[in-house]
Amino acid sequence: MTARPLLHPLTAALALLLAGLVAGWAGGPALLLVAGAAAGFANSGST
Amino acid sequence: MARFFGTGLLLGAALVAFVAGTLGALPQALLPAPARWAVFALVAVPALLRELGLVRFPVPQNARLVPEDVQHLRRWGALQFGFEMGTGMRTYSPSALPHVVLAAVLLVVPFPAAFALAAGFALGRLAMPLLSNAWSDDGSWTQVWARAERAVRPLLALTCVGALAVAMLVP
Repeated sequence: MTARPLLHPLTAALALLLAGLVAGWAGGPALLLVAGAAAGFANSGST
Repeated sequence: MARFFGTGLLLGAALVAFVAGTLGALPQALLPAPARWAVFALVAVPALLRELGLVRFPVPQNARLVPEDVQHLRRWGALQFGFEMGTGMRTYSPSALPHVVLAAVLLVVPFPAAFALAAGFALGRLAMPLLSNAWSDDGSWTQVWARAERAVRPLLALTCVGALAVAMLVP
């Protein structure tokens, strides 16, 4: 139960946003990785 | 089993990146960058507004349900199913973001970079079943997702479109 907040979809979306900000600061292909991950996560719906 | 599903996702997404990147070589060679960005914006802006909940319109999708027996698949079945899902064309598409990514590969992303997008897509697609399974085995993730969806979708859209724009436009 204690790990549940970490598994919440909002946490995952915020983690991706944070990863995007870090990747934007660092530069390189990591930004594209984050963009793709956001699309993949959004495309999966509930399962 | 997740390893096989994940590998399938990666292979499926890489295939789409390869095909779209190859097809995209033509417009990327023939059209000047401002024209390509203008066309990309015609896809990305409405998609962003849709994900923000400001407009509603259907997106192209393969409107087929996933058969229930998929959950009983073994290794090669999981690999095949992952491959199909990795293409983003196996079933309904609840989001317009895959379409934005596809348009980006066709119009503004250099061929090698398309594979970074594909790897990210596979990872993001894999995250949902992993989180769902870790959450509980009673299927309650579906309700959690439904409650969070109104906040999650705009966040994902801003992340996706923002990251694409910064990656391609900022030197």
